[in-house]
Amino acid sequence: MKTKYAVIALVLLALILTGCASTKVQDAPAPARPVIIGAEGIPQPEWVYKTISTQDVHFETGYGKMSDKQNSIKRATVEAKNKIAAWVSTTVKEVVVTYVNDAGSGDNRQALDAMEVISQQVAEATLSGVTTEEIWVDAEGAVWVLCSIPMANIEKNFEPAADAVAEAFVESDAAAAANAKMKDAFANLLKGAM
Amino acid sequence: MAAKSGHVLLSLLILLAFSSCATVGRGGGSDVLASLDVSKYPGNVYVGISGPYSTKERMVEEAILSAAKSIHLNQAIALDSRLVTSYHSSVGLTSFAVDEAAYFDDTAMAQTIEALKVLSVQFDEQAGAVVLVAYPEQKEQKRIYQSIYDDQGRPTWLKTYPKVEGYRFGIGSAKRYYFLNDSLEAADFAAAQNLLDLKTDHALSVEKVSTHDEVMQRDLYQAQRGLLSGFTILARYYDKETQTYWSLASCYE
Repeated sequence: MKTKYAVIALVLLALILTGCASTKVQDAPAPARPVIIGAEGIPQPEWVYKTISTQDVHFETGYGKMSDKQNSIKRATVEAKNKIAAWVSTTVKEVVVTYVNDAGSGDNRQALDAMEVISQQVAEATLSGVTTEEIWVDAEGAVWVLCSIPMANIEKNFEPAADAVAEAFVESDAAAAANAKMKDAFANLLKGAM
Repeated sequence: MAAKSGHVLLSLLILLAFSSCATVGRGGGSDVLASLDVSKYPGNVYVGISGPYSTKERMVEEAILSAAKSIHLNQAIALDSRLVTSYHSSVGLTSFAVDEAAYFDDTAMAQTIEALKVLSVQFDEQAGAVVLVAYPEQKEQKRIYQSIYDDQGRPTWLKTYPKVEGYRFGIGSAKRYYFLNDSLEAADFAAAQNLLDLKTDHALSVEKVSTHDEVMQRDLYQAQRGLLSGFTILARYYDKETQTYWSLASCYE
């Protein structure tokens, strides 16, 4: 009986002790970043030094330091919009190059020329709905802006160009008709020979 | 033409009716702005100023026209902005040129003036005629924002943009012009352009980077345009130290 109680007591003790055991591995503390206060008493936001990315919205930052705040905002937004335009341009070129490779028309000079023209047109196409989400003024009076553009707007701009690219690689009706006539001519010739 | 002469006649009648109760102010820039403050009135009340003219008749006419213009700007304002900047790696920014424009539809101006209800007419040395009008065809809505002032008596919107659901805000400034109405118009215009800078319907950006004799040159051309609706000047401020006029504008999101 005594042994029974001793076993139960040992099991309980073991359970208590295992309950207290901690398997949690502590994360290494992140290096403390000094808090930078801007000219208007607002701490430096994270987006000034860290890229923000989401699946549905593309963000870019812009910086401007001019003679007054108004012009600084203008310059900062101009720079951010230019970054967005550059990003769109690169993305468009990548998409078009991939399409050409997938279409197996990499050696087709005419197709490559068409691709170049179209990608240039899209790269220079207008950006729609660029919004300034946040503004921060640093201690020197320079302005930082965070601008965004919905991916849906960029996709909408892609549509006409995508159609044009696809068109450049599809045989025209006239070519198809000529092709059919050529086949007919061959067929008739073959009939005559037989 | 008939509508134009009709609005002149209407202006003259208004002038005759109100000239007896007119007051002449002699205050400075900020005092004049107090007489232009319509924040305690509903959203369908507009103020118009003329600037100095040789006759009171002309001043009232111009002030009414100015108020009617604000109503049309509220309905729709189209903005256009083109900017060219050049940067040299050896000397920094060499140019930052901006060409900006704003357009509004004034075809129904005569009908708008006919519909106006004049609330008060005042005369001021700097502002000329200050006319307060109500536009009954617009709903009497509460103003979306009232200025809050800091310890120095400066409105807080100079530092941080107000946030109100469904609206966007823009701030504009202009150095003092010879005539008050020109200063205010320039500040209002800058606020409208600021709204465009902060949210652009369409923007085109073209950048050219070249290198000559180890000096990098970067030229950037950017054009943008937008159509704002509900454009309203909510508040103004005059900074005596820098002799700068500030305007806070809003429009629908």
